[in-house]
Amino acid sequence: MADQLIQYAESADGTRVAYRCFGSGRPVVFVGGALSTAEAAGPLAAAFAGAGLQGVSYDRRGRGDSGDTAPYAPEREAEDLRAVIEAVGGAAVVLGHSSVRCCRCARRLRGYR
Amino acid sequence: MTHLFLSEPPLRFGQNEPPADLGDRLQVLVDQGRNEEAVLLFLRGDVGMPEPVIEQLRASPAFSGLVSLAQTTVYDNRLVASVSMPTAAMLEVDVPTTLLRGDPTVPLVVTAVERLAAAMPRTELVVVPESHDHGVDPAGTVREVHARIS
Repeated sequence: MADQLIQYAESADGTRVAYRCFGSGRPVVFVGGALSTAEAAGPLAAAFAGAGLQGVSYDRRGRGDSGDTAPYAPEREAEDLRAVIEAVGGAAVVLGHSSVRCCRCARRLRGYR
Repeated sequence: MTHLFLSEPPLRFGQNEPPADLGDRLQVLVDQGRNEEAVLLFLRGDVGMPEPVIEQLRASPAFSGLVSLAQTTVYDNRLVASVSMPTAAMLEVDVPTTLLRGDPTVPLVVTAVERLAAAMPRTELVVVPESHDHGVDPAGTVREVHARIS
């Protein structure tokens, strides 16, 4: 797989969030579960690109090319996801794996199209 | 967010919670540089991954990468501990929502998606037969997602 350009969004607390886009079209932002990285989600994001969508994977804080800012709080994860969604233009489909974060985020992101 | 797909959410609904001190024990291991032990403790104690699957993972080239992420097991432990029961706000989410799970997969997840589907109105439960043991098969998952977004 070709090296994917790593891009950066800034979360609400200033933490750098690294993400990668595959293909073009309607964005599908993948939120990985525990022990996941954007790199590991490459095949999935590429598969979305193959279907005519834009696959977006990102490193959750503390992983890969993303930063980390102490102290950790679950709320930071919702802000990180929001930063990535904004970076890819909003109106994103979100696919969260093993991810209660998305349950929590759903309410916060509800008014955000 | 225009559509939410929740794949294998590990909500315990207050049952079979891991020990309350698991997060602290994980942090102690990480602080001591015992990253592999932390990851294994997390997989066994928090994820409930079956032992044969853990052994496969351990033998795979990907495992060393997971070990380097040991600190984040504490984050995920805290995150999952904070949301055992879905809140009323979560259940009222008004974005079209689809629940996905593989077959076979972790028992906790099978129960969680059934309970969530029953609790969340207008939510569809989809089994992705290509996904196994808490994995996300790219082709199968993309197929199910693509079919449900306009």
